[in-house]
Amino acid sequence: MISESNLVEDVKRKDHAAFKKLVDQYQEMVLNTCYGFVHDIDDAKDLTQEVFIKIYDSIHKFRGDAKLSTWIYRISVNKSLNFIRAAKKVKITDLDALSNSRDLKLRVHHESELADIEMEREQRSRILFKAIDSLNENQRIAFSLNKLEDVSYNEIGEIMNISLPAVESLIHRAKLNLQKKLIKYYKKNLN
Amino acid sequence: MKKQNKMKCKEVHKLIGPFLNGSMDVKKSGLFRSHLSECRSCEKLVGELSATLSILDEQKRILPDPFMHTRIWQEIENRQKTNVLFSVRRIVQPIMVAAILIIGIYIGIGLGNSYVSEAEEIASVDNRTLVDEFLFNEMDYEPIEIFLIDK
Repeated sequence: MISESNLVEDVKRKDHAAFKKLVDQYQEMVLNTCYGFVHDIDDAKDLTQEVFIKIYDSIHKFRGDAKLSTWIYRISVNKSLNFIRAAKKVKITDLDALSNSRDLKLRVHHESELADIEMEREQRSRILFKAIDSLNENQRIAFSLNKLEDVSYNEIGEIMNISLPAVESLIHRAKLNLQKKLIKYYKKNLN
Repeated sequence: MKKQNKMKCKEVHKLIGPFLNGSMDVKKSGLFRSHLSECRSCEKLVGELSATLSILDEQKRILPDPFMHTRIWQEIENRQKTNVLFSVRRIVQPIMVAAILIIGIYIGIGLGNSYVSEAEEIASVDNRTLVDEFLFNEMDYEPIEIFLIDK
């Protein structure tokens, strides 16, 4: 099996086969990381494409100080955040805004009418992702990478250029804030 | 004494996190469960929150797209072609603009020159006529005798 450094060197030489290997190896990771931020499969696929084009164009800048996956995670996170900022996808900073959605409100109040379990799950996912989206940016990056992508605290530290205790603190605060936001939302909408 | 051991809704709301994480001690956990068995709204709240947070653990992985590499490679080739065209355009465009400007200036100067020389020609013809007919033939209109008579 080709080593990571050889793969990088081959991609630097613009070797098509090596680039294909790189895409095959990291596509799932990039796709799911982007999806964790944008919550839309089509947007995540477009972003994955952008991420690999960026990798192809700037692979010469990769010096091998960090793991290749760390570098790719960083590009994926940056691309996703830029996408969100540009598209103003996250306008809701307070979960209360969700209760203004007639559709969601009705679904919560008339729970008994929901026969379809998948629909219920989808609705909960929407509420959960809105709550995650409303976290502060650093908490959100750390939390999403750890919870949705299962990235280790050490690697998150390298991706975000912060210390291990800082990562621990970010994730801890993210969990607490997420619970607070969800409790506040459900207290308001369940009764 | 019994009443003091019971948890209130407010306290339950504060402890939902530790309860769901499993980080609550046995005694508190018992009181928490006891409250849930008596309070329908808290039971519903904890149930909903638990179901929502559990989505994080069972989050579906999106499977890779088998055509992703082809799409990416196509896009890279398209961008490279566009970049070549853009580079050519970046070189050719100023040259074209400069050439058009020079041609324009040249035509302008040419037209300007030809216009001036025509005007001068007309003016010179008119002057000749004026000089011939009026300046040197004034005697035809004002004969010298008229001046002599006045004096």
